Amino acid sequence: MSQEAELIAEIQGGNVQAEEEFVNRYRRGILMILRRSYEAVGAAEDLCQDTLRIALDSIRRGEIIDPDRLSGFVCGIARNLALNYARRAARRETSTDDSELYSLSPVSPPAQLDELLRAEQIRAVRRVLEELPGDRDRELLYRFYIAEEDKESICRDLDLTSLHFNRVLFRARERYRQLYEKYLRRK
Amino acid sequence: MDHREIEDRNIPDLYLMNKLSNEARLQFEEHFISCPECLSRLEMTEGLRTALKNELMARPLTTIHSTGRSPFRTYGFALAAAAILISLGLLAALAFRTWSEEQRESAELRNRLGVATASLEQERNKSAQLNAQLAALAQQQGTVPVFPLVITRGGSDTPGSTLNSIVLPQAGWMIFLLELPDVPRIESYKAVVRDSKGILVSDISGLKSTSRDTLAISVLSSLFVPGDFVISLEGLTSGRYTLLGKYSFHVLR
Repeated sequence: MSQEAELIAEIQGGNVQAEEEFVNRYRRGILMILRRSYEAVGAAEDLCQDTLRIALDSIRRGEIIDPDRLSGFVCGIARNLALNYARRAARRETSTDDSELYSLSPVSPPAQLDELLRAEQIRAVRRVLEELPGDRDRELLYRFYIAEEDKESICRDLDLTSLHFNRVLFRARERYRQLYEKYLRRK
Repeated sequence: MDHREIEDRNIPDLYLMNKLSNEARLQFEEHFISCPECLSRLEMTEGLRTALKNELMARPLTTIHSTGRSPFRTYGFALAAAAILISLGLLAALAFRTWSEEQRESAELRNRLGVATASLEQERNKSAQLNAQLAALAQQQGTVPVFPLVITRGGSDTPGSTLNSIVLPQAGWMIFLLELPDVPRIESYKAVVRDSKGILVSDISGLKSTSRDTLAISVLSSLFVPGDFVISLEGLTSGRYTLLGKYSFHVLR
């Protein structure tokens, strides 16, 4: 029996811990998918809760026929909710109802904590850039992550192998993670 | 989809840049939704990319503060310049009306006009200096210079009226970071660069932005010579391109 099949059986048997495990396993991934949707990004937390609720209800009712497709099933719910949210938002944007228009305006100023985190991100990334061994690695980061150029053309221009390219990205990510997590622990 | 393939092909990076095919995107989402390793990789990459962009956007302020100048920013300068231009217009109109009747007053107005013109020139020079410092800073921190460009507002995209000045790097690539207007559901962007005579310098289409407020485009510095240029940014929606904004800039050697 696969892990998914076991989890489904436990949830159908009324095991609350299994439901918690399901939520812990899928929550981060659902949020990642929802945050990629331009229109739904502001409602990602709410849509994530809805996705989990709908998925759990379906499991309890025994609607999952193939347990190996559980991840695909959860993804599908998240995508559909994001799509429906976007359609509703588009309809509201063309509406003349003032109350609906006001409900769409996300104009709250950035919170102080967000500003502090942003400042720390900038400090951390400056340190990462300073610590890179050469200009070529910095150029690689800018061209790949900011200008979003293709890996092949960057490798060709900078005379790099695919392995070296991946190594630079890996080191930069890891160093950034260390610095940023260190800051969060201090706080 | 296994982790070796995911790493070798930089799939998390391509996913975050919206560069995966639809099929590959769906496949990867079904994998990472319950994969803590890939989720950590995605979150860290997302964090690093956001931090790199924020760091670039923060550079002009850092430059200004470190030189001890008054903290005016590009928008502040735009407002100041607009106010001065309006003042110039009013003063000129007033001077014309009273010319024949009040010579003394007219002379005074001309004097004030001269002061305002000098002030505008001074502000322009300050802006050029700040952008030169920004370019220098960009060159110090990375090999690829990055130039944030703001939308040219109020139809002042004629040569000589630009608020964006850039110092041309000696060779290689440079990146323009364009301020994006708040227009939702753009499928892709097209950037057309023309010189002051309207001659096409570069035409880049199929651009995607993963940020809500900026779009990065990379261009070869050898395409540019000192002078005035305008980037017209168009957005593709429902199969049609519409103009989103113009970014005029002056290139210095």
